[in-house]
Amino acid sequence: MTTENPATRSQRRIPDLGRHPAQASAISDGDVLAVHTRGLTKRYGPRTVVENLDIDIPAGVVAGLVGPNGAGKTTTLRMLLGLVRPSAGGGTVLGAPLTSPAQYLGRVGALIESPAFYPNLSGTRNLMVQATLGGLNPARIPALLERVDLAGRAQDLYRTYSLGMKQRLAIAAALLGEPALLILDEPTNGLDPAGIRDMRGLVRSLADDGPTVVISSHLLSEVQQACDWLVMIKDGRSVFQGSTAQLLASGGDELVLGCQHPADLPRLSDLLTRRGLHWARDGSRLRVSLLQLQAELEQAGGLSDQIAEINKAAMAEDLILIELTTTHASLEDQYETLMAADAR
Amino acid sequence: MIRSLRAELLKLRRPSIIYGAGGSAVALALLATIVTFTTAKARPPQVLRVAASLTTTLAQLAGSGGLSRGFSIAAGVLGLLVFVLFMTSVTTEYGLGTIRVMLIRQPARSRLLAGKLLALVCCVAAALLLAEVLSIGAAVALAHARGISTAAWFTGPGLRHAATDYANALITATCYGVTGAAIGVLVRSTPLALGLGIAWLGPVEHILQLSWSNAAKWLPGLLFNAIATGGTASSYQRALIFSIVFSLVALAIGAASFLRRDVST
Repeated sequence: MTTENPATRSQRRIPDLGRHPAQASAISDGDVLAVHTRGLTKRYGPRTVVENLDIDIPAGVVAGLVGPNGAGKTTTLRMLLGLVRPSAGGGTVLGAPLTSPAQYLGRVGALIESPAFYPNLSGTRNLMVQATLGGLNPARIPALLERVDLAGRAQDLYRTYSLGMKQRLAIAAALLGEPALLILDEPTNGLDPAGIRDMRGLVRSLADDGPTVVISSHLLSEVQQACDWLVMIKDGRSVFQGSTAQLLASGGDELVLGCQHPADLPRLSDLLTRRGLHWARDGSRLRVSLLQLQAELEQAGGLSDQIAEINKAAMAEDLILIELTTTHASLEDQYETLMAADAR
Repeated sequence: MIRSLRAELLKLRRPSIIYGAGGSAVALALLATIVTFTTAKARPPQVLRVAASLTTTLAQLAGSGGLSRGFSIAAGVLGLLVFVLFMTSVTTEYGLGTIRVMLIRQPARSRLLAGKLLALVCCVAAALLLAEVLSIGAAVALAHARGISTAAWFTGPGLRHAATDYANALITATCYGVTGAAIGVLVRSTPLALGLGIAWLGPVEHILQLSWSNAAKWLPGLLFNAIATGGTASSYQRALIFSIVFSLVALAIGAASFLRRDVST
C-alpha cells in the first residue's frame, strides 16, 4: 500500500486530477482537498470491491458519493474512517494520511450505514458515551439535541425513537466534535418524504457552518438538491467527479421542436441545418442540444432570442410549430449516460 | 484508555446491568449460601460417590472459612456469568454496529479494548464485593438459625479467608471474562459465541473429564473453577498459573484479531 508523507499536516493541494476531462477544470491548482485518494483498492479474497479509486473532494463543499447498490460507496467511506484497511493505494483525509486515522478522526464526524446506538440508553446518555470516548466537550450535547430537534425526547430511551429521530441523533453525534469533515452514509435511508425533506434541510444548514460534507446516496434527486460536488462510482471505480452544476451543464439540456404536420419535419430539419445546428429526430420531434445552441449564441444575444429567431424563421417558411420547449437534463439522466458509457 | 474505561462505565451504569447482572451475582451468592447452610450435615456423607467438595459439615462452617463458604461455592458459577457478560458486551457492539462509532471516536484499538475490559473488571469486582458482603450477612443470620458458632469468623484468619475467597472469585471471574471477551472478538456474533463458549465450558469439558483423568489439570473451565474453590495447595498453584497463561493467550489472540481485522458489520 502506498502511503502519504505523515509530515503533511496541512490539507493537501494537488494540480492534476486524472482521468476525466471534466475534473481538470473542476479543481484548480490551489484548491484545498478534504479527501484525496489515489489507487484506493479493497479486495475481499478474489472479489474486488473498490478498485484504483481516485477521489478528490475540495474542502467546504457538500459532496455526493453516488453509485448503485454494491458500487463500493460504504467500503470507500469505511476506508476513509479507518474501519477497513485498504488492500492497495492510499490518500489523505484533512491532510493526514489514511494509514494514521488517529491523526484526523478527531476532526471527522460520521454516520456510517445506519444509526448505531445503545437501545437501553437515552439519547443524551448515548451522546455522553461518545463524547467521553472521544474526549469531547459534553456541554455541547443539549445544544446539539436542540439543533436536530430532539431536545424534547433527549431523556427517552433510544429504542423508543422513530427512524427519523434515530437518524437525527446520529447527526447530532457526528457533530459532537465540531468536525471539519462530516461523512453521512445514506442519511435519508428509510425516511418518509417529510423526514427526507427535514434531513435535506439539516444537511444544508450543517454545510453552511463550514465543514466539508460527504453524503453517500443512491437517491440521485436527493444528491442533486443537496450536493454541489459529485463523485460517481460504479463497480468500485470512479466514473465521474466534478461539480454538480458542471455535470448538469455538460450536456443533456435540449430544445425540442414539433411541427403541426409531421410531414414538415424534413423542412424544419433543413432550416436548422441552414442555421448551423445539429439536430436529432425523436419520433415526431427534433431535438437540438442547448449547449450547441448556446455556442452559436456567443455572437447572437440570449438563448430566448435565438429560440425566437428559430420560431420566426419557421413561420416565414410556413412551418407551424406546435412545440418549442427546452428540457433540462436531470442528474439521473446524466448518471444513466455515464453509467451506460462506462459499461461500454 | 481512561476515556474508553469511563465511556464503558457510563454504558454499564444502567438498570438492566445493575439489576440484571449485578442482581444475578448477588442472588447466586445468596442462593449458594442458603443451600450450603441449610443442607450442612453434622458428619461428612458416607456415600463415596458424593464428591467431598460438594458437601459441607457444620464443623467446616464453624471454622474460619465458614464466613465466606457459600460465596466461595458460588464463585465458579459467577465466573460463568461473567464469561457471558464479557462475551456479550463485545458481541453486542458488533451486533448493534456501535463498534463502528467507538472506533471512529477512539481509533487506538488497543486502548479501546483495554479500557473496555478494565471497566468490566471494575464492575465485576464491585458486584463480587457486594455479593460477598451480602452472602456473609446471610451466613451470619443462617448460622444463628442453625446454632453454628461464628466465633472463628470475625478473627484474623477468618477475615483473611474471606479476603482470599474474594480474590479467588475475582481471579476466576477475570479469567472467565477475558476468555469470553476473546471469543466474542473472534466470533463477533452473540448466538454463535454463546453456543461455542457455553458448550465448551459446560458439557464438553465435563464429558472429557469423565473419560480423561487429567482433564482438570489442562482444560480451562475446570482450571478456572479450581481457583474459585481454592483447591489443595498444589492444585491451586497449578490452576492459577495455567489459568493465567490460558487467559493471556486468549487475550493475545483476541487483541490481535481486534487490532487487525476490518470492521465491516
